[in-house]
Amino acid sequence: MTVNRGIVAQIAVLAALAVIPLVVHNDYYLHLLILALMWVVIGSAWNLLAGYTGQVSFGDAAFFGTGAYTAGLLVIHWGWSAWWGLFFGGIMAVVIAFPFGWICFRLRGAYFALATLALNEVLRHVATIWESFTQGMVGIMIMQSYISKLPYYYIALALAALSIIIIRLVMRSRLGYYFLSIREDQDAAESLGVNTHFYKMLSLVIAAWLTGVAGALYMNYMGFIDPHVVFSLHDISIMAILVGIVGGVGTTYGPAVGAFIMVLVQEMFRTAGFGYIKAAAKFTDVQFLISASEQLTKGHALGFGILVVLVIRYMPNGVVGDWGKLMIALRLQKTGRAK
Amino acid sequence: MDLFLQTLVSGLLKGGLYAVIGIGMTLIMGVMGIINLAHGQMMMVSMYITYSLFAYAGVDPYVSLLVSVPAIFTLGLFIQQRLLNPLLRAETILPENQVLMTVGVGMVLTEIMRFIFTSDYKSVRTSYSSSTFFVGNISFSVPLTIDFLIAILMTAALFLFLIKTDLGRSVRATAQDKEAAVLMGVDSERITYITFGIGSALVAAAGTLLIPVFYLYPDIGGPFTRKAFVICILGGLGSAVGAIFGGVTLGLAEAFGATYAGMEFEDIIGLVIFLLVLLFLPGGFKRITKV
Amino acid sequence: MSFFRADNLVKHFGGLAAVNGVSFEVNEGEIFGLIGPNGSGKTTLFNLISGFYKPTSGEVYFMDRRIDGLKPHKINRLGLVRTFQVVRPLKRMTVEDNVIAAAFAQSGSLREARRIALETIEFCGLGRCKDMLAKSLTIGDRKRLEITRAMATGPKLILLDETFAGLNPSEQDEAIGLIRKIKASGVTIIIVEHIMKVIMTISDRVHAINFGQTLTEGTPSQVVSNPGVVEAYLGEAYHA
Repeated sequence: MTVNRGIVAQIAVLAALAVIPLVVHNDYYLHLLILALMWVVIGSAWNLLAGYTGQVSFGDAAFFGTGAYTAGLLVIHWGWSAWWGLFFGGIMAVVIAFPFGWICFRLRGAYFALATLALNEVLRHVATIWESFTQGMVGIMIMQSYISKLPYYYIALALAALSIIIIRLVMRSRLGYYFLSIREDQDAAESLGVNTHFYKMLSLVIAAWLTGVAGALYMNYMGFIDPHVVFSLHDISIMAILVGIVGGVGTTYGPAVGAFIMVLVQEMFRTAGFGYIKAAAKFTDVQFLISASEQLTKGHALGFGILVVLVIRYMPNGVVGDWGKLMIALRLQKTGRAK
Repeated sequence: MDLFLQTLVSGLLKGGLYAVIGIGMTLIMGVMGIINLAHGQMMMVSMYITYSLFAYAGVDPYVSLLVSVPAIFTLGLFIQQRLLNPLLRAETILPENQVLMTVGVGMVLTEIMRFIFTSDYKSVRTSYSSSTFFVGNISFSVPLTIDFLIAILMTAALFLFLIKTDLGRSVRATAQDKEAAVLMGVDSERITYITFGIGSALVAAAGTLLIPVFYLYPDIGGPFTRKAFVICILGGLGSAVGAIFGGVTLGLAEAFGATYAGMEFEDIIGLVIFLLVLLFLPGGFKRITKV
Repeated sequence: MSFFRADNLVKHFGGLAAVNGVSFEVNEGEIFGLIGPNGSGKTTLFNLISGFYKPTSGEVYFMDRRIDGLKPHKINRLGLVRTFQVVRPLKRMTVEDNVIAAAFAQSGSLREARRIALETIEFCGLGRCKDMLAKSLTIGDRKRLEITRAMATGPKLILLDETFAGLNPSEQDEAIGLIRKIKASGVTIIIVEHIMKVIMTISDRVHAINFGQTLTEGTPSQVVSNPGVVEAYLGEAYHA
């Protein structure tokens, strides 16, 4: 029964997402939705590796950027369509991830986390310094295939659905059980016949592939990348972690929920409440609102940082993982008010 | 030959300060088992404190050590006590939550400084900032030489503290085996925040010492955090002696890289070392020195 | 042609020899007890056999295959599985999922693995708590889970490391019953144990070590009457 209800709910959500662009014609909101869907892919991938396999990556931008640059370089060097990036971008991310994981997974503990951080930095420097190949700081600009946002929206939606389906399938198979047992106890897993090195690699490769595909989508959609955008530690690597954590580490739909929340929150900080506070300030001419909107835009990164601290401090298992806790907290508040 | 010696000297001088930065990080690593990714950002805050004292009150950077070090020590205590230790009690999937918290703290510190001081470059130019003296044909920067000496003093003091005092012994015991230390009556929670405080104080001192020869901007923390973890990896996570070797090695490597390969490679050199160590000497210098 | 053979095993940690030239053979179908005082090298021996340590020298043969130096998961796939002295449940997974993860060693399909897991859970008497999270089990049930999981990988030889430590007398009796059942199902057992009553009742043969070296080997009664063993270990423990 519950399974059936689950499937119905999933189809309903998917259908709703599929219909949205037919109802909402606002490009700005569509843009946010496309970004959110892209983050569903990245967050789900990060969650597979960190939440389910216990190997926390601090450098997802390495794979994201590799995917994006693969798509861009295919255009400027070989004149291919950037859409080939969806295929080759994922593959290139795997090509980077494979030897990397091979080396790093020999060591346990903090090494993997640090190494991902370092890989992120190395690739950003390479993309910056190797000007003859990557055009360095100038970045890569391509002609987008479509003016309308609709095609991008549906491609992003398809990728998001695909990544969730893949992860569901993985987690219901031998792979999933092995990933979880590695997360819980590597020695115990080894003793039960799990080739932990191999399965950690596999988890990394799947995650890198999905993240690389998302990167290629970004290149196609935005039409412009440079090393500081796609290899960004804060805007990509840390954001990926936040998407995972805010939604719920080690839950199937957590990252999807987290993606929408984080994209909205980030945008809210960046534009001071989607510009509504500013508009309200202009309209009412209240001094407080004017300065509030100015401070919010100026301090958007600060707000974002504070949010990181608060989320980890008070909701370390995310909206989905801490759902019970969240509900209890809300109910308590209600009863508190009733008194 | 002169160029070589000159590079060697400037690499060594810088390496001394790097060692202090690295020891701070590796102490925290050893006791808490986490990487503090806000390490460089703590240093950045210390630099802004020093800068403010200099710019608004005319306090000499060396004197402001007396302010910046206790201030950052307290900030470290606070972060460990209020933000990191509570995470140990929460039930979560990821053991890395503490590391993520330090990332968040780093972001907040950076952005607060940007909010107050904007992104503009600041500098502290003292009368001795660019003064040098010569030994033969080799020039020594006066501030960097003084810094180097202070760095050695601080390192020596730290080792005395760790070896001779009860508190220091408790810190080492906790780093070696937390459970055993607790059984022996060590208040491990108190040790964690004292350690975090000391680690932060060390990097704060390094920041204050560096400021006469560095430009200051809010994002300077990130690169130094990365340098710090490269040093720790080089030395072997948790090894204070290793961190000294790691710091000096990184200082030398950067100096030689900048001289012989070009300035733009300075930043990437640490990362290349990092990858090489992972490849060929997993476990760092600790594997060789065993301490 | 022996079922299992350890040949002159040596393991040094720095200058210390934790295991120093231990040899023994185990026949198919028997329960082989391994005894010795604390720190005598029993767990190190288990770690050498199951692939967690590489021996400094010496060889291990299992069903005519040399297995020393192989990774633990490879050794598991050959049909040799171990339990841990300090139990290592996969804490945030249910008992059933713990066992399913192990049962995947026998079959790649989830349906088949689940069938094997449920069968093994029943066999080992954990049915009443199969939906509980492993972390919420009592110590007795955790030990049982440890054995259940090992059994679900379909072993021919199982190494039990201090399974009885921390169990109350009635739990001990249950565990003895379980081990006899496992033997009856055709699985060979090597058991490290501290509680002499247990090892004396269930072992077919016993091998005693101290300071990483062999003291004696034989039937339980032979070993108990060996003066070296009495001196090294049994003096207090057996009479206590």
